[in-house]
Amino acid sequence: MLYCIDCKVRITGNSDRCPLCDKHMPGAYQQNPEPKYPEYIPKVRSNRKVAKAMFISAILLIMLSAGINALTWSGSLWSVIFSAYVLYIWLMGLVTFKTRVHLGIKLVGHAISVSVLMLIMNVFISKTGTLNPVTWSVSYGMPIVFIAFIVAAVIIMIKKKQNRKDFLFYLLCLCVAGFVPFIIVLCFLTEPMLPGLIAAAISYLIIMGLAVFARKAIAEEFVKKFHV
Amino acid sequence: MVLQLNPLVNTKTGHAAPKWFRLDNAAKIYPVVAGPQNGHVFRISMTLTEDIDPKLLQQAVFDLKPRFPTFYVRMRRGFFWYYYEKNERTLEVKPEPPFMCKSIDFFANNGYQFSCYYHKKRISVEVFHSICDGNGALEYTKSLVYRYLELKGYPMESENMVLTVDQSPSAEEMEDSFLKNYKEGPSTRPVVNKAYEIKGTPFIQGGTGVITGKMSVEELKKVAKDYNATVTQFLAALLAYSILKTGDRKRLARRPVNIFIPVNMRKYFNSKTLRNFSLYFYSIHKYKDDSIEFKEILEKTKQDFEEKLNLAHLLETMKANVAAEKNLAVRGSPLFVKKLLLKAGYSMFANRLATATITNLGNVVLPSSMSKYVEDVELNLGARYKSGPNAAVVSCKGVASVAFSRGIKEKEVEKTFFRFLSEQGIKVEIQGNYWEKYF
Ligand SMILES: [Zn+2]
Repeated sequence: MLYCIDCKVRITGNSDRCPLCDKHMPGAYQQNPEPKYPEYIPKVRSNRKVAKAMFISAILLIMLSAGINALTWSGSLWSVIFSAYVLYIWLMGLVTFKTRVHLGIKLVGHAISVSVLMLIMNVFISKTGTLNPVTWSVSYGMPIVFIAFIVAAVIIMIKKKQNRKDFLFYLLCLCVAGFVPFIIVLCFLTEPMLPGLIAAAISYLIIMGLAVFARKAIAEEFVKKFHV
Repeated sequence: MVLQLNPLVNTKTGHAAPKWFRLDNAAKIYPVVAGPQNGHVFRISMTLTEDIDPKLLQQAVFDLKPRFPTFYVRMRRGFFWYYYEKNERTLEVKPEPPFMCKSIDFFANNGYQFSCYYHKKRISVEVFHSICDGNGALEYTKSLVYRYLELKGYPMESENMVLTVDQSPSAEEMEDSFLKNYKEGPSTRPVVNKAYEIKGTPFIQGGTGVITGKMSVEELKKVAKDYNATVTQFLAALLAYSILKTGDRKRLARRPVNIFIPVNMRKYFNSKTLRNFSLYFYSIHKYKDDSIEFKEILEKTKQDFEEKLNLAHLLETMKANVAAEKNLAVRGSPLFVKKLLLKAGYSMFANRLATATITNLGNVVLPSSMSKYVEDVELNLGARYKSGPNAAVVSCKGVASVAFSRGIKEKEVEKTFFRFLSEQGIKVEIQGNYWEKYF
């Protein structure tokens, strides 16, 4: 075993230096072949590079579209819609792969943000002078999005037996949101109303179903989530 | 890997295992303040006589699940508080990473707040402080190694010194002993001033620089006895001495050296909890001049132990901590508000009260059938980014291990500490992870 005469201590491990005073002690490797701790091997963090490249290309695409839009002005602000698309895809990637929140929160977040994105697109695409600028997004877009996310949440719940209860709360949130397009459509009397009505009906059915078959689980979930 | 439940394992979690439970009084702070800068993670490791078989270790980790319901949990966010819920996923054992006590990535760890590692002959359990304190983690590690040796096929006899998989967990093991033993009444939290801070060159990528000294308990006890002190008093005083000796004179003159000493409260209340039940006190040393005498510091340390290491003093801290949790305004505010306030409060006050920590887990007694296969036990604290060394002491089979963890390249404190011990005639064996050579 190695001995540091300055510190008057014995050294174990496979280094040739005293851990206390860094004194060099030749011949260590022969005497102590076993390293006490695993070697540190620096890793190249590819994740970060991808994230950076994504961010830069998103910014470049937005600037490029704005430039082309301005140079070839034809009366429509299509670059805004395009930018919204690009930003949304970038954010979606970031939120989905970078943040570590529950998948249920991500589902609710995406459902809401897709709806907002469609509203923005709708407003910018519609020609000025229309009485009701927001039509297709609430009539078709939002109901379809909410139905899709509710179905997705249900499928995940069926597949993820272990964590099924985790999604109850978020499924309820999605179902409550599922009524929103129908309410808007009713308020503005926008035609057609059918898709919104279907989304609301599905939401209602699921809420009723949960109330009948999963009342205990939901009650437990609420007790946990809201305990003071 | 699909794991089969061994027929020996008692799957009845008993009447006591709840589906979810609240974080205990001490646990509540950690999820809020933990981060890459300070993971609040510590490690207990046992070195065996032969190389570890990962498959058997994985099975052992799996088998302990019904026995330790408070460990196999995941933390979930409620509207007012975090809470723990049974984790249905598998905790995977992994090869030991070089970065010791890194803040645990719960997401990558299947939601678990502790990890099990293997390296050559060593089994290590790294625990996020929220689920338990050192004593709780020690019980788990003992059981894990015991179960591992059982699976290896060795004849084992627990002698009631280890929790085994054929038992059911008891309600006492899962209780929040703070709440149970707290008595209402006015409390005055002991006033502690901002402490001197050990500064140095940080490891830019973070990480823990480890230097561990091993020595005979007999020799250490004898030297401490010659100084008319207990081992913990002696080591705490030596830590303060090493910091005063090597510190920055100007800054030392302004702020005291506060040594943070955790206390296991189980013995005071006869508690069997496997969760957090530790309190703490400070041993405070003011710098006078360059003539720093060890004996003088030891006298001050002994005085602090005398005054503060007693139930009355510790209860004041406990009352204040529980009262903060029970405060209606605190309880009624949403989790994000609590997090904001706690974070701000912690970084402004609590974070700067201690110069260094020294914790003594005491002597680990193993049943003789297990002791044959265990070479030694080590306890390591995680290092805060940019911070000076903290010390963790544990002894087993007559060998005391004093492990320093630091977040800076400089190791003057450790050098002074161990040189002092060897000057007293104690034969010290040093091992390190040489973290400074990487950054
Ligand atoms: Zn040396």
